[in-house]
Amino acid sequence: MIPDKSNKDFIVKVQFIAIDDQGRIKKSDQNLIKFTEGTQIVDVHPFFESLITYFDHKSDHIKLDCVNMFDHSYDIEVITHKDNTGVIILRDRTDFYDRIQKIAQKRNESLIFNEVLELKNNMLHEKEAFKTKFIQNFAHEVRSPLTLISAFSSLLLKGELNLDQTKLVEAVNEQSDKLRKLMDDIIELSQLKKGKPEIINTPFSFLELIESIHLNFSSKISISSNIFEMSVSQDVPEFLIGDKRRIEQIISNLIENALLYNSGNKIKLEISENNRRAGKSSLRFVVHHQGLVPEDLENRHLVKDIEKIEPEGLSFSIVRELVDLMDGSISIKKIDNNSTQQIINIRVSFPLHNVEIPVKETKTAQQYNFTDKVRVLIADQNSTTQFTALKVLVSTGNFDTVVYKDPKELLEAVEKHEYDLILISSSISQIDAVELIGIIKEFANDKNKSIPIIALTVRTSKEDIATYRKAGFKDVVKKPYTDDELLNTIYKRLNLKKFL
Amino acid sequence: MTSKKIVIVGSFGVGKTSLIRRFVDETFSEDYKVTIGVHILKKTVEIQENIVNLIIWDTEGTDDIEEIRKAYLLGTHGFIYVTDITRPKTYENLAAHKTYLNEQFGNVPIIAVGNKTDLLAKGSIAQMKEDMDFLDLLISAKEGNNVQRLFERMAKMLIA
Ligand SMILES: Nc1nc2c(ncn2[C@@H]2O[C@H](COP(=O)(O)OP(=O)(O)O)[C@@H](O)[C@H]2O)c(=O)[nH]1
Ligand SMILES: [Mg+2]
Repeated sequence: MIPDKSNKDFIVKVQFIAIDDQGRIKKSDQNLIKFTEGTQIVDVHPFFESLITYFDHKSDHIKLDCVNMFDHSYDIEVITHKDNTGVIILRDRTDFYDRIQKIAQKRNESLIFNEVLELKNNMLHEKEAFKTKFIQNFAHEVRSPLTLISAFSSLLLKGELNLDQTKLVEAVNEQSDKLRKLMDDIIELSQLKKGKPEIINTPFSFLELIESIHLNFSSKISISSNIFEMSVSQDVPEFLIGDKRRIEQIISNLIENALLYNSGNKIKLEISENNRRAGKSSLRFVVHHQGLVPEDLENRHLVKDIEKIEPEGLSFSIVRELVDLMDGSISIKKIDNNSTQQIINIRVSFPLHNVEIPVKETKTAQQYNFTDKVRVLIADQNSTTQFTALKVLVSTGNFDTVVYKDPKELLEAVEKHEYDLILISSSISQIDAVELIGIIKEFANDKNKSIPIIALTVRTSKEDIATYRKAGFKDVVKKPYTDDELLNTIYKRLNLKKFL
Repeated sequence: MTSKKIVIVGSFGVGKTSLIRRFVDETFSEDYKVTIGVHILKKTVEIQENIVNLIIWDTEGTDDIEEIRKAYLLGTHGFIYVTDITRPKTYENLAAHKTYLNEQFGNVPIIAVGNKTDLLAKGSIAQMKEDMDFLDLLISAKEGNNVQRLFERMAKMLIA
């Protein structure tokens, strides 16, 4: 350290005070503190009052650093003798300690600041985790009745209905699908916020996707006697390699959002290509609508708190997260006083050569007429899903079904009777499906030990499915399912020849 | 008339200095000025017809109690251990620190207090008392709650 000109740090003023055996000031220079000889030192400052305990007929040498008195900071030495006299030495180190004080001030303030920040952060995390969990549980709960509504209405539509009835049931079907999508969106968003999103890149026909979006929204928008216009520029690649579902989600959600705030009679989607570089096409999507959006909509994503996302902002929030995920950009532009553009740029790979797109699986279940009925045991506690599965199976005329809610009765049944198939819902009586299948395998008679067991569950992450498979489930049907989804899986897992 | 040395210990920023200022000068300041070394203040209280001079040592806050210069603690009659109820870090090591003080300085009384109760939501103090049963008293240097009681309790223990 370079001493400053005054050399203050190096000239430390010292004062010596001699104390007699009665605690009086015997002699002192007046370099620092004015002492009157003959007076009691305890009266000078409370510090000396507690010093007196050190004078205890023994010889000692005590050092006390940085004692603050009269706006100065002293390093103090106390020397005591057996005859109870002593010497006190004061060194004025005020300048030095002032400097230390400034450093400590900065350090402590920042330490406390960080401590408080960390605390707030932890609290937010806990709150967030609780909310995500709550939302997911809630959405899962709602899925069961939804499964029933969508499966039944789809079943009804396959039967004989008059025109009015068909229309009504179609509406129910459509609304329940919408609700299903909403639930999926909520779960989706809470997953995205939790930060473990998965992007699955596969080749797909982009033009086909756009067409289906066009078809979908034209009919939807025409219901409200509005017009949906779409323009796709020539240079947009026909095929892309990307996450088709996510891209579709982005476009649909933008349009949904426009619909939500639309006050005119036209919504327009423009798709164009900005450029191509390094095997990627930079695509631009612009959705125009009349009317404005809430001022803060664009920035709502900044609110990391899922609670603050308002229902009508849901689709936009998902778009925001997805676009972030794809390193794209998003903006909302107010064109004039009464029209808005939502603009998205994302970069997506495109194939350099021709691609073969795998043909889509047909979704409707094959119609069979079994000569022998399939004996199905359903283990399910939730009466809604129970009922759904039951109805779907019965409607085909191919199944004999029996339902168990009580694990004890269930185990008795697999021991005594023969079945061709077992369906297990996620949990019954607190025993989860994975535990249950273990016990079933243990108790079942030999015939039942080899029949397929299928799980009906809301838990369908990769890890969940792996766990189910490992436990011995032949397949997993994701709730909510449609009648076709359930039947397809069952037919896939049964040895059909046996029943035809 | 007796003099008793009371040392206030606890992590930095918990309100040791504020507590003493509230008790001795009846003042409070929102500003935080880090204490370096020791400040020694005095206040006389009357307990059951005894006049007691409380010589109160305000130490600088350290996370580790062993860092306090030992010379400061010589001849201490009682400790007040101050924590900040809004900062868990400040009461994390309370039990260990109490043990240390007792080992080093004999079985002198230690009163552990939780400061800044004024920052709690109204009505949550009772709950806090239950949750923080390792504290002897909840106080607020800012509003003065329980400050007088704290020092009186200490003085009583010291003349007993
Ligand atoms: N709200 C509130 N703030 C307090 C209280 N006691 C102290 N503070 C504040 O906490 C900070 C640190 O106080 P201080 O007495 O210097 O803490 P020390 O480092 O333990 O001496 C200062 O900003 C004080 O204003 C209290 O009872 N309530
Ligand atoms: Mg202080």
